[in-house]
Amino acid sequence: MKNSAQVVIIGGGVNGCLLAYHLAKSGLDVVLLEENYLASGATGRSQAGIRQNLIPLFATKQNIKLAKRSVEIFEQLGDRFDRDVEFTQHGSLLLAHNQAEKNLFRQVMARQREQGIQSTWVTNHQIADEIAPCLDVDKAETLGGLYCPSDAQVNPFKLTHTYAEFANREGALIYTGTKAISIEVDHQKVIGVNTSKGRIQAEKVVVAGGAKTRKLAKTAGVTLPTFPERHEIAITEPLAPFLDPIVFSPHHWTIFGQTERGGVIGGWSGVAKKASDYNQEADAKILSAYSRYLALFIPNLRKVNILRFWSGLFDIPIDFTPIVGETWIKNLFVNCGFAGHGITYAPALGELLTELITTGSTSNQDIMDSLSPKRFRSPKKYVEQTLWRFMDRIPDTTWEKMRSPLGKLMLRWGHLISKLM
Amino acid sequence: MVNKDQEVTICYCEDISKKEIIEAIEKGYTTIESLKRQLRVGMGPCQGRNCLNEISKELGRKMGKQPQELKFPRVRLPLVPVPVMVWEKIFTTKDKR
Repeated sequence: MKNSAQVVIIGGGVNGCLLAYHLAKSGLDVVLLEENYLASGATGRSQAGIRQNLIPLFATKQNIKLAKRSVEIFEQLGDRFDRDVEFTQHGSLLLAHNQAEKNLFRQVMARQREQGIQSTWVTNHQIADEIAPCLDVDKAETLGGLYCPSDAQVNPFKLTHTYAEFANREGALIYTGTKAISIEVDHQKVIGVNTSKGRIQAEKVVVAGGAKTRKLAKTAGVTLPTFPERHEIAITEPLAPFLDPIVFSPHHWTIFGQTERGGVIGGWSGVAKKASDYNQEADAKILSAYSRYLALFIPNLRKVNILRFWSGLFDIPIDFTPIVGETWIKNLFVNCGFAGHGITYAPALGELLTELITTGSTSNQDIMDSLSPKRFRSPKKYVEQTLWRFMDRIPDTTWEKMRSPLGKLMLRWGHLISKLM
Repeated sequence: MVNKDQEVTICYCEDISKKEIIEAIEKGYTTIESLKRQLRVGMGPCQGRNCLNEISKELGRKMGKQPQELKFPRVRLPLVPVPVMVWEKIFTTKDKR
């Protein structure tokens, strides 16, 4: 194995491979380390939706901006690489089940429209007639939904493999089966990475390890306030195309969509558990609950077989904003905290991070400042910022509706933050 | 020259021939996991029970290893396809957070 590189990227998911490609293309000498095989972590375990239809908790202006930029990049991916990554743009549908959610989603729509995303509010009739005739909207008691036609799905393995292949062509070296154990720091500056196959000297280190980023960053003395959460999804046997958009019902915590291959992939995250031990064992009880909701939304799926179910880890940052940029250790960059939106943000963040690593500044400084891990540097600043973001994000109407599941989620996080204080 | 032998279908679930598998190995997908991700072999209803032996033999031959030295992918539950209507009734715990 090579023993020195200009940039060492840790993590062979979509974010790591994408970054390896961009950095290698800009002429740097790049090494990528992956513990298992490419896309073995959250990337490969995800449903791989690219949604600009973020739930209100995540739908800040900048997150929507990032998602929009990503969709633009994904749209041109086919021309750029001449590879089929099964990118299908069938839209996504965010279902509302009560008035409070309806109000919240309409606010999301207003923010999307500000950024130029052509999302529309659709009624039950429109859903039943045009958008997803297979959905049983009456039984599921929906009040319409937010429909974003440009949302898409992709094959996460092919996407990662494509970026890895082209990164390789640009000269990046990819070592799979090589675990990064710790990051070496000298005088607040990165000097190298210890791996299971020896030491690599590095000028710059980027950690894009999903939920495990926090573990590695800790070895360099950087404490990131994120925690892993286990979510489970299942896939059915392939069916003829019948469901275009990805359907997400935050009320029932259920999301599902049909892949290009034909399987209905989705999951229920009503009892997503904190997985501090990084345990990725799937629990059949969750599949059982998911099946009930799937059958509620699409009764015809009752007789369809479920082939497999598995779980993956979300990396949830305390303020629900990705953590991307240089840490307070010089030349140590992190790219994590996506809370299940890793593929959605990957291309947009890859672009910005490449600019930051190669030139030291970016064209979009506002976004990079708000995503920077430096926001967690001092505890006081961190608590202030978190609370401010939190208050800012919850519309007044919701405070009254804390009984709704959305409100419950917010309450749960609120509890967590108060604990930290 | 294409060997007639290579036209043989190895993965029936996803319709993948021996030739496609050899091509993928030559492209650099040299673990069963990465072959599975790229070609979907072992991701169908049989979960690799029909094809993984053949694939491991082929990969072992290419890599100069015994098939049993290769790392096999994890088998995911359910072991056989189970309909949604059965899952619905298996656990009826409360779905609340």
